[in-house]
Amino acid sequence: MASPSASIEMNVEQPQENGGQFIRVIVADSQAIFRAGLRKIFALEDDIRVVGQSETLSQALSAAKKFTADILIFEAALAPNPVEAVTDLMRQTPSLRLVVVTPQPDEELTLELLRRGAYGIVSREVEPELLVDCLRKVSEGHPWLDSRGIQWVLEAFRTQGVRPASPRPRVQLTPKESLIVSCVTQGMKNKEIALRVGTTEQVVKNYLRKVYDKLGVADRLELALFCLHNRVLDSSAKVPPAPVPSSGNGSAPELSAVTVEASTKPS
Amino acid sequence: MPVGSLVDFTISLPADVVGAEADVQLDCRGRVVRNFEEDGRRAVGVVIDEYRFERR
Repeated sequence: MASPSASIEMNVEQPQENGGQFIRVIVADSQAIFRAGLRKIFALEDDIRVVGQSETLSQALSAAKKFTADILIFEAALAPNPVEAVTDLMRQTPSLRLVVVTPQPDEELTLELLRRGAYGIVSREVEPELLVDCLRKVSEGHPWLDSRGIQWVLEAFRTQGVRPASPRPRVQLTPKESLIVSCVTQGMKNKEIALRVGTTEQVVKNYLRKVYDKLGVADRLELALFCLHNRVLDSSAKVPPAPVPSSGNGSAPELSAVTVEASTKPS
Repeated sequence: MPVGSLVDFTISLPADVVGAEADVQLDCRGRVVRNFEEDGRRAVGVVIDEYRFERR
């Protein structure tokens, strides 16, 4: 596996003081062949220079901070939650304009990315000349979408008064996260959850922090209410039965009177 | 219901929503922070101060 320092690289041709002559681009994509393809495409253009590239989200964040660039071409699939990743990138480097490459045309994702401040959205199947056009427009401060994207935006604008605006982007939980959410919403404490899923309390806490971040909730109560209003869990999130104690007095485990008090303390 | 009133209420989390065998009850205690009328129905906004999951 390549080390971050090996993967975030600076193009030796980077113009340091270009006076706006070049469009400086960072390419963040997990596939080396895609990055190489883009470099070849941009090499034919006099006004576009690739100044850095990265292959993971953390590298993209580092590259955005490290290199002086106008545009970051960001593969949506680099992040488990591309919308949040775009928000983080914009927060970290507000001057950088983001062009997001989605795996395939996606209406909901396109609209949400635009709301979060992405300048351009293209799908992976974009024609090279359209991508070049996109970069030029975005570098001038104009948003860019293909004709289908424009249609989605217009349609969303037309219908925003008659349907709930800004549907929450669908959040994907991993099977383990779903399992832990299921346990929490059934009132289990971290220790019990750890026993049920065969891990430690600390790991459960780590998972919970990640889930809270993903769903934008602050505690167990908000998590439960979020689950009530959004179908977060699927049928795979069935909690395994409690392990049978290997020793003890033979009494049944306490199942009632499990309480979780409301608190602002992290749990 | 005046603002500041204390209220106890229960939210039922359906079994399929929480991935459980049975519904889970969420017993809550809170304070009314606003009240309003909407479409002829009275409604209140409540801040939940305490809660507990009631497992059956």
